Amino acid sequence: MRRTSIAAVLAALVLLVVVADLTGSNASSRSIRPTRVPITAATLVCPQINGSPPGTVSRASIADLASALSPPSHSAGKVTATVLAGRKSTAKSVTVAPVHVIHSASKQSQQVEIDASGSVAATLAGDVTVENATGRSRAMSVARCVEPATDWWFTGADGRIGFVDLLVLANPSPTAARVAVSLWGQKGPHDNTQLQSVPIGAHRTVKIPIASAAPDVASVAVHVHATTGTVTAALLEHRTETLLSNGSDFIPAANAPATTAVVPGFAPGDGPRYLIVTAPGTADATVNLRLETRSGTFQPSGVNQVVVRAGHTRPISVSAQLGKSGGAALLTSDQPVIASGLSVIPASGKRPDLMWSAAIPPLHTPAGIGNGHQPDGGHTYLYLSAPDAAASVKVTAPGGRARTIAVPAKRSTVTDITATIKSAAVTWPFVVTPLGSAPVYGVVAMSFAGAHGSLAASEPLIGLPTPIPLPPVREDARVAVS
Amino acid sequence: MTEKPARSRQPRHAGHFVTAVLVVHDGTRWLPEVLEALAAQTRKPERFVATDTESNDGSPELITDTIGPGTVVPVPRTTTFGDAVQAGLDAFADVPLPDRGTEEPLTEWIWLLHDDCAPEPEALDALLTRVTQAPSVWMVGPKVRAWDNRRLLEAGLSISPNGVIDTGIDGLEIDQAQRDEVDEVLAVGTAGALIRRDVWDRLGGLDPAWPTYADDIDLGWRINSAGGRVVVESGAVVRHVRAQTIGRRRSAIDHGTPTVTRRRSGMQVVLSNTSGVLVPLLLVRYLIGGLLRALGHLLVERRPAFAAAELRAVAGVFAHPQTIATGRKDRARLREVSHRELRHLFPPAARRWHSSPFWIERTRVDRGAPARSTGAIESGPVSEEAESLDLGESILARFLHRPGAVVFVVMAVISLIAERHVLTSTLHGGRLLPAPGGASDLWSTYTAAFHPSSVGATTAAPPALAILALLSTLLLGKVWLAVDVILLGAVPFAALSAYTAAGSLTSAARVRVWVAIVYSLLPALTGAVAGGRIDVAVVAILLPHLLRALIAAVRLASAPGGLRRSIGAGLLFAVAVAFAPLLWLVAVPALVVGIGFIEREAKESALVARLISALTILLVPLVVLMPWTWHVIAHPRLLLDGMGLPEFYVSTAAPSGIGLALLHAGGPAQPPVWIGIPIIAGGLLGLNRQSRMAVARTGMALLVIGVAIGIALTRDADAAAAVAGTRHWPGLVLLIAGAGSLVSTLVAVVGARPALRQQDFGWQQPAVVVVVGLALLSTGWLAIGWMVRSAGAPLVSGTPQVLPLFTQSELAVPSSPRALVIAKTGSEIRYSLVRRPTGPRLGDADTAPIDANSPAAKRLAAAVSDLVGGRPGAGDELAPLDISFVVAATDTARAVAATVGRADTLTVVPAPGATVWQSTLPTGELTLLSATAASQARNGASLAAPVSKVLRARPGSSSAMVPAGSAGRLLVLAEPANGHWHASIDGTSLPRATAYGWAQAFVVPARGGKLDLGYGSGSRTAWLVVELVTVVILVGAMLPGRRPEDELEEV
Repeated sequence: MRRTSIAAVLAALVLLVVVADLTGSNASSRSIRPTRVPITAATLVCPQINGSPPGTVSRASIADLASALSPPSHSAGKVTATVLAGRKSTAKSVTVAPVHVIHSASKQSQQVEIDASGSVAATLAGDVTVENATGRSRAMSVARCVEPATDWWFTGADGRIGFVDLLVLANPSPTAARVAVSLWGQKGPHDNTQLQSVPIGAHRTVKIPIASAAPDVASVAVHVHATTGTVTAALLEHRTETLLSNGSDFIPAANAPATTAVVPGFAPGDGPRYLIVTAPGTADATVNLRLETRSGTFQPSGVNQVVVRAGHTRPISVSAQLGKSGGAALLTSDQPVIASGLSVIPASGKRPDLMWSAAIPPLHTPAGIGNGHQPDGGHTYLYLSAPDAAASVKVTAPGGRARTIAVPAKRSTVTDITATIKSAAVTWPFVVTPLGSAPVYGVVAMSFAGAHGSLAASEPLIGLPTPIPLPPVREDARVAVS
Repeated sequence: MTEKPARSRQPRHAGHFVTAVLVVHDGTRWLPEVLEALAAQTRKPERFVATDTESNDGSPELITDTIGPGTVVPVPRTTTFGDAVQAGLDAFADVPLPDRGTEEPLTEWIWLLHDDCAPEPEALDALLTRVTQAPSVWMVGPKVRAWDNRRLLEAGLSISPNGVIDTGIDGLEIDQAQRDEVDEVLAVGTAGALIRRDVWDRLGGLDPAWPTYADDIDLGWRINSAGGRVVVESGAVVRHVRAQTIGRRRSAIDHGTPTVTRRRSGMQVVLSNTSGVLVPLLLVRYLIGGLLRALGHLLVERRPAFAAAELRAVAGVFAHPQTIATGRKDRARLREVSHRELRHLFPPAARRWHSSPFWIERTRVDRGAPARSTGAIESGPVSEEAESLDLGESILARFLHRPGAVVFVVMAVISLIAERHVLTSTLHGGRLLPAPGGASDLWSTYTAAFHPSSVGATTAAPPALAILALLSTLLLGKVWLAVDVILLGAVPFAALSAYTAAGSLTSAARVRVWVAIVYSLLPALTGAVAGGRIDVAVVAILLPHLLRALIAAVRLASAPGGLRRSIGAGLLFAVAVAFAPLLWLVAVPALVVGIGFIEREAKESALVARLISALTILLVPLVVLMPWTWHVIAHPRLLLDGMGLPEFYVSTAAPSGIGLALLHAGGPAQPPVWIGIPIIAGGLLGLNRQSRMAVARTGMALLVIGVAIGIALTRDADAAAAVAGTRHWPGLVLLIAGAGSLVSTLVAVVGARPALRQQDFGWQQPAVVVVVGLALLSTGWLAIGWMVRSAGAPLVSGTPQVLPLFTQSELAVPSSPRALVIAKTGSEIRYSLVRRPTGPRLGDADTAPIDANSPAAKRLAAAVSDLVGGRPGAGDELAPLDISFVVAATDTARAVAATVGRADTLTVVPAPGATVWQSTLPTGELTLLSATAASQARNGASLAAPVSKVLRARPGSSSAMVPAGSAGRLLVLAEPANGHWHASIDGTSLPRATAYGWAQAFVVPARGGKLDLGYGSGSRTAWLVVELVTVVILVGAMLPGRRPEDELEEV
């Protein structure tokens, strides 16, 4: 009887062990996927719709690109435009079908806030085209209308004589914002106590001339950090030589400092090509450089590896290495850096113009261009680079015309898309949709070679807003005690 | 009546003339001895008379035959004692006192005698000697013994303010002259008392208002008030039956219940004699005290008749106010001495408890020691040599001779070493939240119906909080001390508990010590300490005695006191279940199996009684822990969740069966798996013994049940749905399993050595050697390993504070804003809504458990997700939740700054070690919206409507002034909508509404006024009262009542 009890207990324990081992479930290796919510609200700020100086024509083109997406879709919602004027700001409802154009007023420089609600917020794109065909301000500039953010990085500005660079900050929100502006130059960090805390009132703008902020400083890198609220930033460069214009363009915002960067959009043809690299950190950056052209990727002789001192900006000439090919610069660094690219579009014996590009993220989602029409009858090009694997994109206009452009692996291409995007309207909006998963970087460039010189500008291809990934959240009182 | 002729020789105490008055009423049973005693007096009274109240048993004839004719004065049957005495005195009214020829005046005395009291031969002589020595004495009484002349009955009389007569005797005392020092008293009993005739006449003798009881107290009190003294002469001894008091003779005067009469008379005597200032206070005291005494009689002593008598007595006092009024008027004329001067004659406050029904005579029985006699108490003076007997033992030696104390101290030292990193006042971590400021905070949390934690909750607070609050109250109100004692002291207290409980199975100290050490170092307990599992720690401390009580209750279910034992076991079980409701599930199969084994082994079947006992044990927690019981039944998951923060035990792979079977719980602070081998092996050996098989089998059944439940608990890999790999920690059930195996091991050890010697050499002997060796090795490994590893994370100590100082101070402003703390863990964002400056505290996790499905919780989760995701307008979503601050530690802030910064209603406030975003929108616990904004809020919008005004409010309540304004305005309370919220302005109730789809709101009229807003807690309060009454009743039912023989000695 006693041994029966012992045996029974042992048997029960053994049985339990067996059952346990048979039923034991491993925790699922599921990764917690974030929820994605569609974009139903968006705010864009179009900078410097400038009617000054006289002769300047600028317009902001706001386009609803739903019909140009693949597959085409229909959007709905409400769009308003507000000229940022502080308390006098008044929102006006606008109809975007598919483009709404805001023209500049004479002698006025305006920043316009575009608010969209509804599904149209996800398919709205806008850009500003500024052109002055004659005189000292002869140039063409293009800039994207951008969403407010907390941080903006630029490099390539200049505070020397002959450079009229202007940093334009806009606060589209109903509450005041405050930003801190940091500057670095070729000679190192540039301190300006007035820029450590700059208030920007609700629906207001602040313009900071670089020549005032960093007088006589060359190759200025700018970091705008919003300590309160979110703002938009645009940096317009205009070069002059006495009474003559040497070109103008908006310097696009670059990616935040990173150890790798791709700067597409170096224009083919004659003229200087510069890569401006800034190391904003506290350690010197050793930057390995490669160039990618239509013939392939190579290390540029003489500048395949450069050292950028901590807190310094270094302009690197790649003119000779690029030859007359268009292309992209590929950077890898041991320290986080920011980079921009400058193409000076010369016109023999005539006035040049500038075309700025910057280190941008690859295109994974469709990019929308509000207006790809060069107003003087010039051409619109697509500069594409595929540094890893072969890629292809599809250019689609709202009218239905489309074109697929293939980019060989480790090559850059320059494609004239004027015929694809051309329409009878004044503005030519279009969408560039990446096909496949290989990363592709791109810039839209417009150029015109006129009697008085070149008029050129470019804007990076940045994807339209994607559904917002909302992170998984969990309530846990532990975070409040440890 | 007789009068002795004058003698030529003067009698002793010649200056005193004594008239003995014997009152007779059916006293034939005792009269012969009484008369014989009178005849044997060394100093005889000068006169003798007996008054007979129409006795029916031949008493007057007996007296006449013994003493002589003419010695009996007949009086009506309903004559009071006092009147009977007076009648006897009146028989000598025409007889003058003799002239003794002395110059000293003759003092006449009355010697009061009962027909059931027999004075010792020297009684009268001693009484007269006393009054001769002290002329200020107006009345002297003898020392009264029981009829057997051994037990002491009276040494003077007094009365307590609540009207209970005090004889000065505790229980049953043998007269050893221990009371001979009693001298001046308030009163003496009339049996054998000597009183001056002039005093008797002046005071009118005994007051007829109290013919049967308390008249002697009243007489003595009046004598003292009149300036005389009443003393006890211990040299005068009287044997007294007290026939009427003990019910051997019915009163012919008062046909009511003696108990009622006694109590009523006592109270009336006090009211009639005491200071006038005290009378109203005493009346209130009698009313309230009477109810309490009745309750005590009913619940503690279980004598409903006495309870009823108490109430009737109190009613009688209030029904006859004239008695008191007349008495006070009469006494006022003769009072010479103030009540203050007589205070020394009344019993001290401590002594008054002895007459209370709540005074329980406790007889503690030590196992192995003979039960102390509950009969006569041998007390009194002893020789000096006996008092100063020196045993020759030092304190250290006495300490070392108490193994339980040694075990406790040793385990305490081991614990101190192991817990060296967490020996501070602020324990937290694992499942433990930091302790609140004081016990009052815990009491408030327990009694509140609404809990301002997280988004707000109305969960019934677990009774474990009340128990913790009670313990904290006893520890000077310090909750942190209670937590430290329980958690850090879990191991030594568990060891002590196991040691003492093991005494029911064996008296072998070494075995008990080993079991205590092993039990206290079981992996489940060390893991519980490291994990901040206060529920498991409490169960570990209680479990040994709980098992002992459960087994005893079931085994002795049919013995006297069976129900009481079951209730007691059920109450202890309830305390454990309050912390760990899973115990209830374990207890059901364990009791069923245990009853089966016990029935099998019992000589006589008592199955029904045992089943009733088990049912009682299981039902008591369900009843006592209401209304929390309902909450657990409605949310069965609480059975598994345990107490404190959500489970943190994460294991990708399910714990192995062999590990669980060897009591390895998993998680922090776990010893090697093999440690469980000797424990299980010892338990198996217990099944091999012939004696106490039921106990051994029950223990091993506990092992199997515990392991089975542990396996079932750990199979679910997603116990917390939001966290992959979270499993229910099996420590609690493995603790029970280990305890069960150790019980069986104890059975194995008891008498093992002689049993093995008797057996032929076989497998048992080597197995025992191996098991013992392993046991000793594992014990050492457990102890040393724990000390080396230390108690371990996640339990930590230190001031827990995440909020920057300025944020803490902001949370204390009158608008009661809140802070949202976020932390990034992998790809997940964890958050906590903080309302107090000190952050979450113990009890919050239990009163506001995370209910992800509640509208408010969903809205909060959505707001956090939108905020961290950078969704436009996210900042506006925070305001309805009264979130004014978003706080993130530096590393989290770095990851989320870009997205959180997109909220344009949040501004960054620099803070050391953290980033704080402050909302620019007006936020508060209570906000006032305009009519326009109200419609937006009532439509269920998630974004904040424009706020007109933020009102002052504490969490869940407000008494602010609401300004006048337009009609249709809305008061929005940032708490979940619920039908128990109420608000009124100047007494006018406000209609309820819901804002933002979840928040409680009220429609405000155009006129403003004083707001009264709160949460109705009436039902909670009622339930708590019911719970308290239930506990009191059950505790009373558990306590043993008074012994029947005590009733005979009650005055």
